[in-house]
Amino acid sequence: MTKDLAAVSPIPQQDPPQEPKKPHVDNGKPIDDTPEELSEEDLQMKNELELCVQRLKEPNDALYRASLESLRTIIRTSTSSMTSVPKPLKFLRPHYPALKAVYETWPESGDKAFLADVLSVLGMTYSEDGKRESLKFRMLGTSEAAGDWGHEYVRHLAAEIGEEYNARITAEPPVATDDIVALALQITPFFLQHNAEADAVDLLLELEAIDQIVPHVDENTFARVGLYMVSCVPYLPYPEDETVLRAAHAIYRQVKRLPEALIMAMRLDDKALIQQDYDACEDPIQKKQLAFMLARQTVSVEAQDETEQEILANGKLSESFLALGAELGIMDPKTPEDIYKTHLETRGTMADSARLNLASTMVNAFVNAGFGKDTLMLVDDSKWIYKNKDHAMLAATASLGMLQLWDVETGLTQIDKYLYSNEEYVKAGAVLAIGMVTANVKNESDPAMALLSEHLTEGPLSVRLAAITGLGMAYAGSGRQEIADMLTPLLEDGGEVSCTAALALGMIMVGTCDGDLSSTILTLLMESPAVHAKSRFMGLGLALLYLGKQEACEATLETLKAIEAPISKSFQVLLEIAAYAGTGNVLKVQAMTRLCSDHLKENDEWQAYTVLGIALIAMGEDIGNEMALRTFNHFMHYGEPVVRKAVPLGIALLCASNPQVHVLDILSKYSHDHDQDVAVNAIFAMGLVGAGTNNARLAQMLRQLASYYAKDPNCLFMVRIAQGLIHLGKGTMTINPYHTNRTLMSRVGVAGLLTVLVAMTDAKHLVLGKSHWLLYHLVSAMYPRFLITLDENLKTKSVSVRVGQAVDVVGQAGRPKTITGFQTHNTPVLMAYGERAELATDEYVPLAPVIEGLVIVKKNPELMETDKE
Amino acid sequence: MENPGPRTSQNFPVVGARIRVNSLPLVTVKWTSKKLELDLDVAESPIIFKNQLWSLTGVAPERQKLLLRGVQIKDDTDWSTVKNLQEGAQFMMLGTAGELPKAPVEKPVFVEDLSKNQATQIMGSAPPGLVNLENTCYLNATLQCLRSVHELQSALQADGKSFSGNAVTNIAVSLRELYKQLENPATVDAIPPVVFLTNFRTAYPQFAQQDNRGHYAQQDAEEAWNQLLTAISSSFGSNGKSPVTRYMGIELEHETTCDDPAAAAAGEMATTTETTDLRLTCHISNTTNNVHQSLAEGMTQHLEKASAALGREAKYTVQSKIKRLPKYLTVHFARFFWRADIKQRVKIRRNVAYPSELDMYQYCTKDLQSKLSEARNHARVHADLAADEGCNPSGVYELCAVLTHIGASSDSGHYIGWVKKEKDDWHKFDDEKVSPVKEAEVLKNSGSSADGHIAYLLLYRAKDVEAKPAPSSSDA
Repeated sequence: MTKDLAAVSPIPQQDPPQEPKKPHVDNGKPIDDTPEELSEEDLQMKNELELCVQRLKEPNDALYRASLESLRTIIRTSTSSMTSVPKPLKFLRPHYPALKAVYETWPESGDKAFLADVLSVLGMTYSEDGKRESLKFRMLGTSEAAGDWGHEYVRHLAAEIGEEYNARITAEPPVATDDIVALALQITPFFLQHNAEADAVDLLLELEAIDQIVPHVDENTFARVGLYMVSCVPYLPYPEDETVLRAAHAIYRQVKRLPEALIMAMRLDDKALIQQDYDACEDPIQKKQLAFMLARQTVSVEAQDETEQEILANGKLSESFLALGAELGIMDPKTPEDIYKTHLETRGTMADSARLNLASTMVNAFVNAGFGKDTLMLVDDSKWIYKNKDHAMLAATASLGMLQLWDVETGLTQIDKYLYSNEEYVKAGAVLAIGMVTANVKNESDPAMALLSEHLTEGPLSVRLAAITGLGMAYAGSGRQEIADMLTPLLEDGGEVSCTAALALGMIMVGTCDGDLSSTILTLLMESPAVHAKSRFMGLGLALLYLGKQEACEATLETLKAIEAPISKSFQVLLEIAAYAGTGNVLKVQAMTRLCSDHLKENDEWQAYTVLGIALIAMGEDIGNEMALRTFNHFMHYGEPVVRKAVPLGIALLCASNPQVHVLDILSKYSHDHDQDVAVNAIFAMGLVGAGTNNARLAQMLRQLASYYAKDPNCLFMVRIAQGLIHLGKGTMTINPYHTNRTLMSRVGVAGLLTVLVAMTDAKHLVLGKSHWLLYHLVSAMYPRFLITLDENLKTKSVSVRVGQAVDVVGQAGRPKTITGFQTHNTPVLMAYGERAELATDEYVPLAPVIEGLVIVKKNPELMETDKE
Repeated sequence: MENPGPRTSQNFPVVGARIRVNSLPLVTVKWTSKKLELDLDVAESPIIFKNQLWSLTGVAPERQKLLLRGVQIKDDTDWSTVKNLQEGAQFMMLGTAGELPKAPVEKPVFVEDLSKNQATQIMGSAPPGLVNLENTCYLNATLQCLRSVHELQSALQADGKSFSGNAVTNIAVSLRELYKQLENPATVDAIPPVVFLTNFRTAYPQFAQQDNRGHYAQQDAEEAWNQLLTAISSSFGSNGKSPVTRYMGIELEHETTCDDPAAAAAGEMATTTETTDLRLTCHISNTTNNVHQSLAEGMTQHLEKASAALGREAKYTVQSKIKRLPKYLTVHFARFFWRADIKQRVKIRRNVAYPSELDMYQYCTKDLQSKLSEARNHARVHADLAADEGCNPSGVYELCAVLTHIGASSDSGHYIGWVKKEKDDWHKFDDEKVSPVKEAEVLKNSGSSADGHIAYLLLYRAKDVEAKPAPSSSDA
């Protein structure tokens, strides 16, 4: 900016208001005056300035102080528009070199420092690249507040500080930077007070001193500073992103904004910090709100109060969800036929088939999930289970868990009956259902642990596997050591049991970086590198331990690299992508892209995970999301089959429960791909992308696909599943792991989603084979997409809210609108991906910073007062 | 944590009793949505506690699952080993009083479990098709349509001939074998009718015609149909009626009268001739819209010939009447005619509708009509007709097979057979591809449909004489 101004010296002059008679041209722009034609006033100023300069050049040091004062006054008082160089600077510019020379001749004194100040300001107009003279003279100057010289000067200084800092730390040997950091901290308050929080944050980020911003932020500035800092996080490398989050956390704590601070703590996934924030809350109602927020992220904290404990355990989730259902009038169960709408398909499908009945079972489970009412399983004397075959009976019985999701007490009673079955698969299904029904919900009786522990080691294989998986689902993200201790010995059993156990352990201990577990898994891999379809889950289990933990995975990664098993490469990729999940780390995305573009002809299964990895790393950040979609487009043209078949899955991960039209078109195209693997995955991806949205366009596309694939059992099965997913929870649920304004990533949700996607990379042997129940792992990612407002007694309180598309307001001046195209509703309402809500009236104030999920509102005290008057 | 163990009477025999009585932990048991509060006697085995619950909930102890903080309390669990057992401890109980869900006695049958053959039987999916052996769709369609004449098949089966030097007999034998193969429930895939085709071509070399590139040429299905029936007919020898004529032969009576009244005056009597045909031909004029119209026109023909009585050429009218209706009535649309100018048989695309039920009563002789009315009005078969095996006793037919042609001329294009399965369901035999269709789709092939299938030959089967209620009640 300053450089440009300096280069264009004869600048059109802006008229001072005293001279109204200056000619203007018709188009409103001022005519270029010749520089010589100065107004009287300007001429006077010029003469005055030149006189001062002249005095400074003279040896009479008595006049120095007065001249400098005079210069300062003129410079500071001159007003100018944004687009022109202030006149004093313009007139003084030619004298800059001379003054510099004068400066050198002066002896050390107060006056010299004063002159340095003036030179520092003048340096702004005369700076050449790399000289940073403003900064140099600033350091030599009197160190009086830089802000007094004007905003432009401070900005210029900030830029030079940044340059200087980089120059110093890259120098050999690096030069100490304390002095300039101190200077930066001096000017930070100026920025903050003048709505330039972006400049302040940028400067301190550049100086790697962002944590020092905290004391300068106050009640008035914290909101904008915090917002800007958080929006920077996706673009920062590790560990700077963490530093910024911690600084933001400190800011929120400083201004006693516990909910915001808690969001930061959850984002950091720092258990101690979360507990601290939680304990710091003294207002019991506010504390309940915190509990609701923690429950959404399935974080457990110590709480004394019983109500809080119940909230934290998601104990009322089922009740709230059913209340929403009743309010929306969707309590009547839907049949699979209601979803298929076969009468709208062009051709009738074949009669009773085990495959299609299995599809109906799953569709029924997905559609009526959480409602506890359906037409197949929970009716009196239901024989539907027996309309399924072998493993499908497992899926059918297990669907009881999905149907009664979160409703532990009633659900378990229904499931219990089937535990007495002599049929192995029915029993296994019931065992799995127990795990599923308690997903994301904690219960003090720990029914899942009590009931499943006895099936872990004994009984038929299918029951054991179901018990292991059930525990994984029930305690996903809980990090409970006692559960882990029950499962760890099973790792040694080999075969399917150890892989399933590894996955369950990964789910339970997700993101804990548990060293013992990872070394156990590594040892197993070294000792028995047997490879089968489910080996991938062992790798996934290992990877989940490090989900989102970035560099914490390095040691394990290095160990894996040393293991020469062929599957080791898959493990490495899985571990790496999981560790960087949701970070938007561009370098990792690039590394994955490179790995995808290798044209291997064999042992290339791991390339599928690199594709998933691109999506996993880029998700949750809009620009990265777009870029990943573009990359995928290239893969579809040039990629190997293994890469191509994973692309729809990657898209599904990027756009889970977010059916954008262009993505649907892409997937629709892939769903007719000549490679059946691609088609099957694309159809499934359509289901995930539309999951829980009731998207009519997608439903229509899938009906057409059902006709198109009427004779292809695999594709038809997938079409049915996708149809069920679209109406997940009758359109009230989301599987997108991001929540709270898309700032928080639910690790449990990602773990569930990733498990399903990894299973789909070998759909033929797993989901389309005997392990279709792997699809139930979605249960971890399922959550109602509701907004329910509660009063201070936690009773539902209907208030009027505006729901609209969220607008990015980072760095915008004033109080910008945060939503666009909104509609006003009364709560409870459903919210789609990318939507934001705000209360429509001032009557109530929300206790949560982000109006999503369960929000407590209380009467606006200020409004009450005005009402009284 | 307070351990309830030491408080039992065993540990403190003296004071135990008193302590126990006063400090039975009051616990809550959550069961479905209910909360039960009761005293827990830690001295007794859990079965006692469960019995207590039984009386409260009606759930038998063996059906109870009692959970406390991640531990399942079994009947033999020692309370003292249970952690977290204290005043106000909350148990969870699972279990229901009702009956356990039972597996149905009858196991369902899944398509995936069946062999393709079984699936065919249960699901009623398509019967096998015939492989196209180079432009043999005309023959495949014909064979599939003629399979509807079950009596012909049984006659072939009953006739125990074997291959011999006689080419015509060989046709019948190979047809019998082919039909046997098609009827076999084990047959699922399309069959290549190689043996039959070879014999057919040997007997009738015109069907072995090749084009200049050595490919077998397309043939007229109607010619093949006739030739085939002739061959079968003759294979049965000349003694008595052959099954072909018995089941498919139409006996007609043609009365030729001179239009000129002078001839009658001169004593010229109307002459009557009789013929037996295997099909009725529908000529299509530019006013023909449906089968009945065309048949009615065909029954009255005009010709000019020399009159003996008048001694000159005179106009005559030939009035044809049907003397006998066979069980299977073949209707042939004369869709192709020879255009001398372009030296080609061209196709008439006019839309001629055909009914799914055809009543031939109006075309019959008075004598036959009176016999038919027995069946039509009184639901009983006239004795004469009952004696005539293979005739239609009521004069009413239902459509049972259609042979359609797509393309411009009879020697090119494609032939497809459509055969009725039951009621509304039909099969479409497009060589090896067999697909289920509905009757409405079959009736569409009258020349109006866009895909160009036009019915060429229709095969009607006598409708069963329905046992009508007694005449008195029907009159009422």
